[in-house]
Amino acid sequence: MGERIWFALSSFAVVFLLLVVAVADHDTEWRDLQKEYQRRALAKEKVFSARDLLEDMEIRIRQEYLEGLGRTDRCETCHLGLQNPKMVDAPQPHTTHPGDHLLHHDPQTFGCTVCHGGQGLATNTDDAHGFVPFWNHPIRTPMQIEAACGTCHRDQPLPGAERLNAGRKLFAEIGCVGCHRVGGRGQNIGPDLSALGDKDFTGDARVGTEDWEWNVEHLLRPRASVPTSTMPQFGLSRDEATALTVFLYSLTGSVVPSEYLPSKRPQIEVSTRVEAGRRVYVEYGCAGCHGRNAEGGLLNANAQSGGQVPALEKVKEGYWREALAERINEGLVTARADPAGPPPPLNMPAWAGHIGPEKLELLMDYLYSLAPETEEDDWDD
Amino acid sequence: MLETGAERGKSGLLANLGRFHRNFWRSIVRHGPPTSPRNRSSIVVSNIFLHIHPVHVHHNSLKWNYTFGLGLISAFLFIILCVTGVVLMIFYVPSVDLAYDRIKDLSFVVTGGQLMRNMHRWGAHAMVLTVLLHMARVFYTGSYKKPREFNWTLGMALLVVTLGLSFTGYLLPWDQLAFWAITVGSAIAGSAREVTDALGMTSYFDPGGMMRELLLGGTEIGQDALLRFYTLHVVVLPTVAILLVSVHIWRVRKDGGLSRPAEKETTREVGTREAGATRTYGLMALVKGKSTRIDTLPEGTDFAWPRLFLIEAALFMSVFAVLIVVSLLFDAPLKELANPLIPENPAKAPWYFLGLQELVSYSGFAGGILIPGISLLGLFLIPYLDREQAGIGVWCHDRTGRREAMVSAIATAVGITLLVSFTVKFGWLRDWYPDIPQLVITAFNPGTVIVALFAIKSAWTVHRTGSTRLGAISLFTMFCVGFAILTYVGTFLRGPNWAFYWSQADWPLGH
Amino acid sequence: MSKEIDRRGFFTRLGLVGMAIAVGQVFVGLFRFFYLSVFYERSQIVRIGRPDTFPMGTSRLFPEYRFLLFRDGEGFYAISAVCTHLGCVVKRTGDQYLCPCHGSTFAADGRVTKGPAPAGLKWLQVTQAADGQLVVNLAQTVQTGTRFDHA
Repeated sequence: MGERIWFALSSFAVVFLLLVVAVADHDTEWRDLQKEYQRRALAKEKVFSARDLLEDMEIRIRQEYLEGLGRTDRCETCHLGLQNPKMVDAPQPHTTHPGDHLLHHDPQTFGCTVCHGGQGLATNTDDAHGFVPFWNHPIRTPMQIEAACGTCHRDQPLPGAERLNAGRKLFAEIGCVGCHRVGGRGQNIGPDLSALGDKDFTGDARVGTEDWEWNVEHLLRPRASVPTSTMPQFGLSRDEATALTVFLYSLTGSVVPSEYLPSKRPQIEVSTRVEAGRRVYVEYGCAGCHGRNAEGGLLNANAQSGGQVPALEKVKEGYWREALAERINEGLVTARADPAGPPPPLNMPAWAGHIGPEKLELLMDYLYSLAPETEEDDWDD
Repeated sequence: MLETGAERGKSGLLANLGRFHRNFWRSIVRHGPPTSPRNRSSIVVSNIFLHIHPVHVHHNSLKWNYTFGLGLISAFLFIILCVTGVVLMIFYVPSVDLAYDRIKDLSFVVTGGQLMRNMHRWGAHAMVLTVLLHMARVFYTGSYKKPREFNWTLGMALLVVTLGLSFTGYLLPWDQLAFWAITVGSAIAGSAREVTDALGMTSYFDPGGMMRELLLGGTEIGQDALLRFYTLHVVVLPTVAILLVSVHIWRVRKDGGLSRPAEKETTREVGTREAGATRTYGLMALVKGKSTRIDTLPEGTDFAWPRLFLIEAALFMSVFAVLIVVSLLFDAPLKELANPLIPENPAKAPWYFLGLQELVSYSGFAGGILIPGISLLGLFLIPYLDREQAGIGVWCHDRTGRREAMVSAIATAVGITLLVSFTVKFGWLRDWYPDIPQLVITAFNPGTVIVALFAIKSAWTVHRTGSTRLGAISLFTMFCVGFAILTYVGTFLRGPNWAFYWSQADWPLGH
Repeated sequence: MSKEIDRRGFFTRLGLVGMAIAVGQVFVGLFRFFYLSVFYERSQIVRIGRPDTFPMGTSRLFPEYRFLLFRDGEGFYAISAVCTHLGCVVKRTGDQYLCPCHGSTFAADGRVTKGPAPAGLKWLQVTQAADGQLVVNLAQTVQTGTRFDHA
C-alpha cells in the first residue's frame, strides 16, 4: 500500500515540477519590452504601410548573426528602435541610435558588441550589459568605445576620435617603443603592450573602469602606482594621459577580418574647408566619373552632355546650394539615349546615406571653389 | 460444412481482424494478466526489460534501510544522464570557438536548456556520490563475499568509468573552471615524470608524457583535447558503462539476488527442484545460488510483480523530482571563457578529485598515481583476500565489526587531521631541506605515510583478531574517512596557491 | 478486503496516469528544446540599403541571400533565385532563368516555362524600414507582380 501512495505522489510531483519549469521558461522580460516598443512606435507612426508592418510585428528573439566576426548579437531583441528615426525621443531601450555611426556600421554587418562591449548572446538586461560575474567585457563607457574604434581604425587618424588620434600620436612621439614591444616592434625593457586592451580579463568580476583609472594614474606618475617601476615620468597632462590610455586600450589581440578593415582614406593634408571638401570628393570616388580635378570629360556614351560626363567647374553657376545638395543626395536618373547602348554608369548615383550632411557641406564648398572667377571665402563661415 | 474455401477464408479474415487487438497484445506478452502466481512469474521472465529482476524478491531486499536504494538511484541517475546527455549533445558543438557560446545559449535562447544542463551536471555529481555510497553499503553489508566477488570487481570498474565520465564531461563547457580543472587533472596523468625525471631516464622512457599526450592529443589542452574528451564522454565511456551496468545488474540476479542474513535461508539448494517447474528453467540448475521456482512462493519472499516494480517506479519518479527541484534552485557553474593565459587560482579539479589533489600537493606521482593505484588495487582485492562467509547481509558484520569500524574511523579522523595540520603548520621535508632529492619526497610524504599507516593498522587488526573481515572493515573505513577528510580539506580549506584558509571569506582580495 | 484492493488499484492507476502525463510533458519539453527559437544562420530579413542606391531599370543579384532585386518604373521587386523544384540556385541567362539541376527554365517574371519545377520563382516581400532602408524578407512570398513603391 505504502509504495502505491508513494508512487502516485512522486508521479504527480514530477508533473507539477515540469509545469513550473514551463511557466518559468516563458516568463522573460524581452517579450514585454517588445510589446512596449510596438505600442510606442505605433503611436508615432503615421505611414499606413509602416503601421501594418508594426502591427504584424512578431514577438521573438532578434539577432544579428555575424559569421565573419564569430559573434551573435541579440541586443535588438530589446533595442528595437535603434534604426527607427522616429524613436529619437523614446527612452531606453527603445530609442534611436544617436549620431550617424550606423551609416557606416550597419548592425546587420557589424553587430553591436564590437563597439559597445557587453554580452551579445544574452537575452536579459543584466547578462546582456555584462555587469555579472564571470563576464569581463561589460558595456563600454564612451571613452572605452573610442578605444574600441582603434581596434579596426588602426592606421589613420579617425575623424571624431580625437583622444584616440592624440594618443596614437603621443605614443609615437614620446617613444614608447624604446622600451615596449607592440606588434613585434620595440624593445623588451618594459612589458609587451600588444594586447593591453584585452587586459580587462582579470579572472574575476572586476570591471574595466578600475583598470582604466589605474592606467591613467600610472602614466602620470609611474612610481606612485608601481614603486619599483623604471618607467620615466613623461610629465603628461591628465588629458594626454587619458588620450594615451585610450590608444593603449585600442591595442588588442583580436584579429579583424579583412572585409571589416576600413578602406584607406585619401592621404591629403587638410587645412581649409575647401581642401577637406576635395578630400571628400576623392574619398567617395567622384573622380571616377567627373575626373581627377572635376574637369569632366570621361566617356559616358549615353549621357546627355555630348557623350561625356559633365565637368563640375560650372556648378556654382548652375545650382544654388540647396539644389546642389539635392542633386548629390538624390542623384540623377536619365533614360538611355540608345536602348542598345552600354550598361551604367549611366546615372549620377544618389549619395544620401553615404555622404553625411557635414561632409556634403565640405564637398559643396570644394565644388563651388572650382568656379574660376569667384571669391573662395564666401562660404567659409 | 458447405462453406467454400473462399467464404471460409473471407470470414476467417474478418474474424481475425476483429480479434486483432487481442492477438496482437498476446503476441507481445504471451501470458495472461499477472494475477496468478504463474503469470506473475511469467511477466518477469518473458519481458526483456523486467527479466533482469528475480521472480521472487526477498523481504530483506525491500527493506529501505538495508540498501537505501543506492544502486537503483545510481542506475536511475545514469538513465537520466544518458537522456539529458543525448539531448544536450544535439545542441553542443565540441569546438573551442563555439562550445562556450553554446553552453551560454542553453540559458539564453534554448527552451529548457538551462534545466537540461543543470540536471545533467547535478545528476553527474549525485551519481558519483551515490556510486561511492553504494560501494560503502555493499562493503559494510559484506555483499562482496562469495558468490558475489566478481560483481564487486565489476562495481570497481563502474566506479572508475563513472569518475571517467564525470571527469571528461567537466571539460566540455570550455570555461575557466573546466579548463584549469582538466589542466590539473590531466597533469596527474603525466606525473609519472616525477619519478622518471628523478631517475634521469625521462629522455629514454617517458610514460607520463606519453599518457598525457595520448589523453590530450597534444602537449596542451586545446581543440584536440576537447574532441578527445568529447568522444570519450559521449561514445566510448557511456558504451562501456551501459555494458558494465547490464552485466552488473544481471549478475545481481544470477548471484542469487541481494545479499541477506544467512540464518533466514530456508529454501532448498540447487538441484533439489520439485517436479512441476517447467523445463524452461532447467538451465537454472547451471547457475550458482538458489533455484528459481515459479509455482510456489519461497518463505520470506514476495513476487517481484507488482511490488518491486512499484517501488522502482516510485523511486525513479522521486529521483527525477528531486533532481528537477535542485536544478531549478541551483544553476550549474559557468565561469569565463577558457583562457590559457590566465590561470584560475586556485585551480581545482572536480570535488571527488580534491582529496587526490590534496595528496598531489605533497607529491604528484605518489598522490596522482601511486596512492589511487594502491587504493583501487586494494578495493579490487578485498573479496579475494577476505573469504570469511560469516556476517553476510549484516551491517558491519557484528558488534565487534561495528566497534572496529568506529575505532578505525576515529583514529583516521584524528590521525589525518593531525598530519594535515602538521604539514600546514610546519611544512614538509622540502621546507626543511631544500636540496632533498625528489625521490625521497615521492616515497615519504603525508600521502604515503597515511597509506602506510592504513596498511599497518589493518594488518595488525587481522593479526590481533584473526579475522580478515575485521581487517577489511578497518581498511575500508580508514579509506572512506581519509577520502572524506582529504576531500573536505581540498574543497573547503584550500585557497589561492593551495594555501590553507579556514573559509573562502579569508581569501585575499581579487579571488 | 475488496475495498482495500480497490484503493490499491486506485493509487497504482493514479501513479501510472501521473507517469504518463510526465512522459508527455517531457516529450513536449524536448520538442520545445529542439525547436530552436533562433537559428545559427543569417537572418531571413535582409536590409539591403537605401532605395536611391539602386538605379532605375537595373537589377542586382545578392548571391549570399539568393535573390535578385529589380527596380523599374513601378517600384522595387525581389525574385528568389531558388528553384521551386528541389532548391538549386537558378542562373540568369539573358531574359530567363535556367536551373542547372533538372533543366527548369523560368521567364523574366519568374513564371515556369519548361521542366519539372512545380511553380514559378517566388517573389519576395520588399518593404522599407523606419530608417529608409529597403528590407527583403526571404521568408515572405508575395503575389507575382507585386512591387514596392517607396515614394
